Amino acid sequence: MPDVIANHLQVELAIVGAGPAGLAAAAEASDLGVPVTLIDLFPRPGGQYFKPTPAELDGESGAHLSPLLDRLSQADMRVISDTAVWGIFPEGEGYLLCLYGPVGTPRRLLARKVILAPGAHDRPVPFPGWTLPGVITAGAALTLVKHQRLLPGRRFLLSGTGPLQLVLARHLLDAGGEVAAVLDANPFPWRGWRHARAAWGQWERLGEGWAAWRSLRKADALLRWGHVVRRAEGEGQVEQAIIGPVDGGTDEAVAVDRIAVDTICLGHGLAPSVQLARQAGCEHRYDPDQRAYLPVRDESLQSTLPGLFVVGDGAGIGGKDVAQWEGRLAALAAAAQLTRSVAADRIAAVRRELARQRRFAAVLIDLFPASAHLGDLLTDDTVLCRCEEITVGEIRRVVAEGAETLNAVRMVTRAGMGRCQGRMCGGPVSELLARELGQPVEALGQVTPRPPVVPVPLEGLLEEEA
Amino acid sequence: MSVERSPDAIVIGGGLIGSSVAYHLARAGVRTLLIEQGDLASGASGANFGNVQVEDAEFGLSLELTLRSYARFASLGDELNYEVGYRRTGNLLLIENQQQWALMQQRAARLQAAGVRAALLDRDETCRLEPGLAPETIIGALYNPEEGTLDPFKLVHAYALRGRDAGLELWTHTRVTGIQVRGGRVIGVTTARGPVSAQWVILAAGAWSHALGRTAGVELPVEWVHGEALITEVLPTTARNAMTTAAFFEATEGAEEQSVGFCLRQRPRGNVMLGEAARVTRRLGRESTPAALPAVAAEARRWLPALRRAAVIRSWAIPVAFVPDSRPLLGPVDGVAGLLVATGLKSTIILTPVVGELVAGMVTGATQDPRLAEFSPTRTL
Repeated sequence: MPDVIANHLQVELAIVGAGPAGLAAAAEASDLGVPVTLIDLFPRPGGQYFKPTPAELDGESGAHLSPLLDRLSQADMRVISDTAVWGIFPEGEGYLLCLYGPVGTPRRLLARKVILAPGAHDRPVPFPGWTLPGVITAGAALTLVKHQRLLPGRRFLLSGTGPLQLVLARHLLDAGGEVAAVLDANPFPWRGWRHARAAWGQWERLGEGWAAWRSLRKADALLRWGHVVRRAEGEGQVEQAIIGPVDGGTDEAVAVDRIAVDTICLGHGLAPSVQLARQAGCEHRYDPDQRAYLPVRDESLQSTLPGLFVVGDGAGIGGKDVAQWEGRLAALAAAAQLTRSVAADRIAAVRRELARQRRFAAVLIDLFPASAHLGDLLTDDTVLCRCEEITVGEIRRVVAEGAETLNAVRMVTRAGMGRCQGRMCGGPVSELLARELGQPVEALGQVTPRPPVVPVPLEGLLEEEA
Repeated sequence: MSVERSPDAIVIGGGLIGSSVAYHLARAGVRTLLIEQGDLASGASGANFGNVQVEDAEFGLSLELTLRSYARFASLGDELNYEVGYRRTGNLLLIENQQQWALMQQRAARLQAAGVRAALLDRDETCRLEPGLAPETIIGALYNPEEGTLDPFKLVHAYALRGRDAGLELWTHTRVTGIQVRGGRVIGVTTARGPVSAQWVILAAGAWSHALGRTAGVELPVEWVHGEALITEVLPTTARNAMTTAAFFEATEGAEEQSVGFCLRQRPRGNVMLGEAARVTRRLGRESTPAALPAVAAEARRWLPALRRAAVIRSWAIPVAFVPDSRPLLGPVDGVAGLLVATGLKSTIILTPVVGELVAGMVTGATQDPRLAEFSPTRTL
C-alpha cells in the first residue's frame, strides 16, 4: 500500500500516461498483484485514442471506449489525473517523480519502477503562412469536432499524410463542414498490395478507411496525392491556400492551384513526446524512418536506465494496438523486477501479439512517411520557432556565420528556448539545419530537455503546497 | 590545421574570456587556434544572466579594470559590427538587514569615490523603482542606474565571428586532453584530434581549468560551485533593473550545503531569469537537481510575491568557477613559460573586453603593468 515517508509518497510502480499503453500496462501489472499509481495529464483517463466526450455532451461514461478504463476503479489502482510530471530524477534504487496537479495532489512520488507512456503530439510542418489564424493541426481539429462538438471553421483544406486525414475529413463532413480538398504528401499507396499479408485481419481499420474515402467522394472533395499546401494567404486569417506538388520548385515551375478556404488542417503524422524520458537521462537515437529521436530499449522495453520503461507512441509511433501490447510487455518485466512470479507463456503470448501489431504499424509508416521535401517550401521570412518568433532567415544567417550544431543555433538565435521548449520547432529546426549544412540530422547533436519539461507555476515547484 | 603550420597561440575554452582573448590575439596578427570542448558559450558563459555589472566588483585593481572595460560597452556592437543586445537597465543590490546595510554603505562610498553613480536607497525609494518587490523583505538597496545587460551568447558568437575574419581558427567539440610542457616551457596541447604545438597556451576554461592545469603540473587555486537557475515564460514588465541580494557579500565561501542567493533579470522579451542555488563541489556536472528548483522558487516568491503563478519553463545547471580570494587568475604561470591563465573572474561579462585585450597583450608584449602580479595564477592565497 502507498506509504508516506519524508513527505514523499512511496510506491512500487508508477505509470505516467493513461492512454492505451499506460492503461494496458496498469491492467497487466494489476493482474500480477502489483499496485499501480497512474499519473495522467488530462482530467479524465483515456489519452488521445480513448478520449471520452465530455459528460455534458454525451452523458455516457466513456467506458465503452475501452474495457481497460473499467479496470481503473479497482482497489489496487490509484489514478492521479490532471497532473503533470515535470521531472524524473534517480533516487536510491528507484526514481523521484516531481508532480504538479490540482490542490491536494502529491508533489513528490518515489517509485521503485516507472513505466513512461507519454504518447505523441502532432508533427509540426512549417510552411509560409502557417502562423496565420485558421491553420490548425489535424489532431486539434479532430479533438474539437469529435469531442467538443465544435466545428473549427466552415470550409476546410486538409494537408498532410496518412489515413488519419480521411478520418478527420469524415468527421468534419458529418458535423456539417465543407471539405474542399484533402492533400496527401505521399504518392498513392500502389505499393500497398505488398503489405497484404501484414494487413490481413485488420478488417476494422481497413473498413474505417474505406468508409471515409467513400464519404469524401460523395462530398465531391478534391483528392490529390503527392501534393501539399505550399503557402497560406489572407488578411489576418486564412483566406486561400496555394497548393501544388510536394517536390516541385517555384510556383512558376510547377502547376499550382488556389483554393478559397478558411481553415487548413495539417496532418503530417505524429511525433513521439520524448521530453520526459530524455530529461530523465534515457539514451535516445535518431530514427530516420520516424524522423525522430527514440529511446533505446532492450527487449523488455526497458530504457538505458534500469527499472525505467518507455512504451507506446512516446517510444516510436505505432498506434494504439502496438501501444497496448508494449504496455503489457513492460508491465510483465517490471512485475518480474518487483519479484512477482510471471508466467513464461504469458510473456511469449504478449510478444507474439506485439510482433503482429508491429507488422501492420510498419505498413503505415512505409506507405505514409513524413515527407522529406517539405523544407523546399520554406522562405526566409517563414517563422520556424513560434514562441520566440525566429524565422528561417535568422537561422540561415547564424549557420552562415559558423553555427554547426542544433545547440549552437538555439543559443544564438533562441529558437526553441520559449514556452514550448522546442517540442514544436525542435524537429523543423534540426531538419532545416541538416539541409543548410548538408549533414544528417543525427550529426547535429541533441538538446536535452531540462526540468520542468512542461511549464509549471513557480509555486508548483515547491515540495509542499503553499 | 596542417602540421607544418602550427599556431603561435592556443586558447583553451570558447566562453566569454577565451573568445575575447582569441579575437584580440587574431586582431594583433597572432596565429591563433581556439579549442572548445562543446559549443561556444556552452559552459558558465552561457548560463549567466547577461549582467554587465559594476557594483559588485572587488575594490582596487579589479574595480579599475572593471571601469575601464565598462567604457567599451557602449561601442562594443560597433566594434564587432554585431548586435549583441547591449542596453542599460540599472542594477540593485537588495539589502535585508542592518549588517548588509553597513556593508553597502561602505561600498557606496568607495564606488562613488571611484566615479560610479552608485546610490544607497531606502525601502520606499527601492520599492518606487521596483514596485514588485515585497516591502517587508527589504530595507533598501545599493543602486547603480548605469549598469546594463547583453546577450552573452551573441557576444561570444560575435568575438568568434570577427576573430575568424582576422584569421582565427576554431575547433569546437574538441576536448583538450593535456597541456604539454618540456624544460619549463609550454610546447603545445594534446587533443581528441591529435597533438598541436604552439609557443603560447592560454587556459580560459573556467571550472575545467583546474584539471587542465594539473596536466601541466600546476595546481591552480580555482574552485567552483554547481550553480542552478531557472527561467519563466514571457511576463509583462516585472523588473526593470537586475537584482541581486547583498547577502552575497556576507556569505562565507566554501559552504558544502546548498545555499540560495536571490538574483533576477528580466530578458528583453519578457522571460524572467531567477537564481541561484549553489553548492561547492569537486564534480563537473550539468544536471538540475530536484532540491535546487524548489529552493530557488521559494526564494524568488519571498522577494517578488507576484511571481508565484508565473510559469517556469526551464532550468539549467553549470559549474561556475571562483577563486577563494575573489580576485581573478590572470597572467603567466610561474615555472611554465608560455602558459597563461585567464579564469575565475567574479563578474565575467563586464571584464570580457579588457581581459581579452590584456591577455593578448601579454603574448604580444603590449601589456606591461606590474600591478597585474596580484592576479598571478600561482600566487599564494
